[in-house]
Amino acid sequence: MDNKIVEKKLSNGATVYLYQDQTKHVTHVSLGVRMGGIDRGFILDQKEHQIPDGVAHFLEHLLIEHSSYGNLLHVFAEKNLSSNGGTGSLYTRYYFSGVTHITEGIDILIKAISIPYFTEEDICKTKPAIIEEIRGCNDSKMRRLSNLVTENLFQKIPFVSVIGTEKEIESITYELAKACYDAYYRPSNQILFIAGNFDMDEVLDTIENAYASIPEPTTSWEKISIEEPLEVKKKKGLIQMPSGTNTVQVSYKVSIKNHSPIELLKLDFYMSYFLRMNFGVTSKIYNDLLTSGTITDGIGFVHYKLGDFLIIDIQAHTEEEEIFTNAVESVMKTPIYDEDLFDLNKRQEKIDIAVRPEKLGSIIHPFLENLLSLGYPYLDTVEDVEAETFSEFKEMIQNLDFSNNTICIIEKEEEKK
Amino acid sequence: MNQSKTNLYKTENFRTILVQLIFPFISKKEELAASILLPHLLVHTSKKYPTEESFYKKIMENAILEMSCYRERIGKQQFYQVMLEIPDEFVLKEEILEKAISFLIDALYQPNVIEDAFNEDQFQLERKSLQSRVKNNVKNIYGYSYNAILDLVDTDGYLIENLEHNLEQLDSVTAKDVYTFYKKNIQNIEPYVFVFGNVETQKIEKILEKTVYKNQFPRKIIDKPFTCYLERAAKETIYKNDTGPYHQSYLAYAFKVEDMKEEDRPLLSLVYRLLTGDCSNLLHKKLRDEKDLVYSAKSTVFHQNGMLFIMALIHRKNKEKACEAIMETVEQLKNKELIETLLDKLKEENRIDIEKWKDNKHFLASEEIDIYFGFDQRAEELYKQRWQHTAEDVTRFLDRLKLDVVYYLEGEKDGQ
Repeated sequence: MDNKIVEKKLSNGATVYLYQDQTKHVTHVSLGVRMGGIDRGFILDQKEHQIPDGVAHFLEHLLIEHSSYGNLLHVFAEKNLSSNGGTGSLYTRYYFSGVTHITEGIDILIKAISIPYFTEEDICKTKPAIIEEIRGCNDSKMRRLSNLVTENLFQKIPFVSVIGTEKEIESITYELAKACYDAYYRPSNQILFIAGNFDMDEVLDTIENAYASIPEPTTSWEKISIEEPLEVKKKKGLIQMPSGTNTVQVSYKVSIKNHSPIELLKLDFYMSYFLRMNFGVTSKIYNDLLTSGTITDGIGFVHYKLGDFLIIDIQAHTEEEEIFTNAVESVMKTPIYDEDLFDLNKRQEKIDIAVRPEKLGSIIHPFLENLLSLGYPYLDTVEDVEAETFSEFKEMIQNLDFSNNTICIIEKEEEKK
Repeated sequence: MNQSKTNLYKTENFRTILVQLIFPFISKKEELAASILLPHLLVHTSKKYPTEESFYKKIMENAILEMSCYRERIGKQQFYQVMLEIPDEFVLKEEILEKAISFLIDALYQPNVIEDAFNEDQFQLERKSLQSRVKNNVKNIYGYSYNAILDLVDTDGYLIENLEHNLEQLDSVTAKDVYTFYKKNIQNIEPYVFVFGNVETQKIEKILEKTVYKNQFPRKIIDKPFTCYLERAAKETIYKNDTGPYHQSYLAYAFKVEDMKEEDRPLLSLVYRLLTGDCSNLLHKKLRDEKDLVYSAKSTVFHQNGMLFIMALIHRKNKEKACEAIMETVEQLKNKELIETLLDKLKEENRIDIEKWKDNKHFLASEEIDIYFGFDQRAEELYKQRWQHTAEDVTRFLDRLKLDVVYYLEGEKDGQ
């Protein structure tokens, strides 16, 4: 039986989504806030605030570690609820899962996140762990590469990394944290997603009662949008660090500003098919580069939405930077559209969607991505995929502009003699 | 029909069918590279589909969600675990079970071999890919440090039997060597078969008779010990300092259980949970919440080796404080009152975990395999054994938990 997601809009502006599956033993609860690493500024009660890197992530730590209940990780653990938080480029998520104490957990989560309790002292206490986290990321090849790519992609939006630098974290003040909180953490900017085995009425009552106890925000706010041009900031970047191999990544910045949520959903599927077709195991470039010894492993590829752009990353471990990047650019200029492979990919996607209900995680993550990244408040269905056509696929991809990219390299650092 | 050969676990709770084949084997040290390369050569191409492209297309046509082969070790026993995952016919609305299993069996028993060796081009690709992965692993702070610790704690040669310690073997192994290894351990050998999902007994038996059991190959016996308890590296604790080009520094404490026996496993597990379990989490509370020394500190337990590691990534200026904090945490384990309270909480946490795992088909399938071979017991049984112990038992057990090695890798980049 395919379960549907039920949507409930609350009077305070928060939206609740519920996916009930009573064949499961577990319930997952996610509270999402539309504030991520890419958010740069806002106006709160007519005062403008700029947000450096790391603030969204910092707030996540602050609210978890210094809630009115204490450290939420420990509070939930006492009730046998596994919990954590995560901050991405576009949103922040607080979540827990468990078998018992679900409604208690929901009540605590809503109140802890929606009623700020942190002090100036707590701002200082939160910093050391994040600074250690930053140092850890500086030792991570993939994190360093990701930061370099983001830095090179954006001209006007000064976004490099979700967690920021040590200097940026040290500069966070109570005033800035409180202003960001007051702007972004209002109920109208939140969503709740409950998935698993729960009593619908009981959960809805708990949510409504919890939010009823939260004072309405009295401030007005709006996000400051930054008009980001299509051209990348820098065409090339290089970092040297300890590594077994060189890694080269070609990242494309593609405008999707005028795409509607349903178009973004379709594009999400079509881009997966396109990348597999042109860079996957069945592609000419993969076979040519492997045979010639240019690459030793596969070609990695991923796409994601960042602001008004679709970012496409194509990566390989290779010492032959020029050969690899020329090959990638050549494919992107004249890509292949194979109808047989399209049909195979489409069938694979239908199967993946049909088996999703087996694992709650396979429902939660795609839905939250659809909702918070694409603005599409539904779970993709087999019927959505069934409706895809080869001609639409070709047209949507061909309408994209692949002329802007940046090439970023992680180069092996020479060992000290 | 060989009904007793197939281990079928029929369940309607999932939408996929898992077919797992277990090939036990024993390899010598000089066969390490061959034994690790072999699985890669079996699931990317075959005689019938000699290119990755044709093989992958066939995987998609057969609606195979996953097809993989891994080398596993439990103590001194090694085996290949081959896994096939397909949607069940109620999801797909077409019959693919026989086609998918036939494809898998064909790949396993008709591999991409030319003149008594694996296809040279494919072999070189797989070897280069592994070389690349190993080189990257030993360059990152975790891989480098972990292998450095293994060097120090491994008094048997068991743990360092990995590619990171045997890169020269990976460089020199040939396609013929790997095929020789294949002939000894897969060709003409029948695997143990486990099927998990919504499938009728008669139907699956019929398919397996036509495919896996067709040639009536013999099965290998699993007869090696499932443990390899390690002796202490030296009478006194070994302190090893190292440096590396990293922003963080790595601190690890390796403990070994003196005269480790099977019945000590629940207690070792309890110590691990006290240090790292959600509702206890002594390490996190001490090193992060109380002392601001880490982003994360964790412990890892090696049941088969009678070992426990505590690891933390720190700033080098905090080395002394971190060492003190770790030993303070270990001392806390001797506080009976505290441990009694925590044991009650952890017991409930474990009970809840067992409920959660019922939603995880891979956990359930692995559990059945573990029970069949005697690698482990059912989660409910382990639960009973674990929670019969008291705080007194834990504190007494701690007398046998000896600090074997302290490893410290200082990051030279000093957070810059």
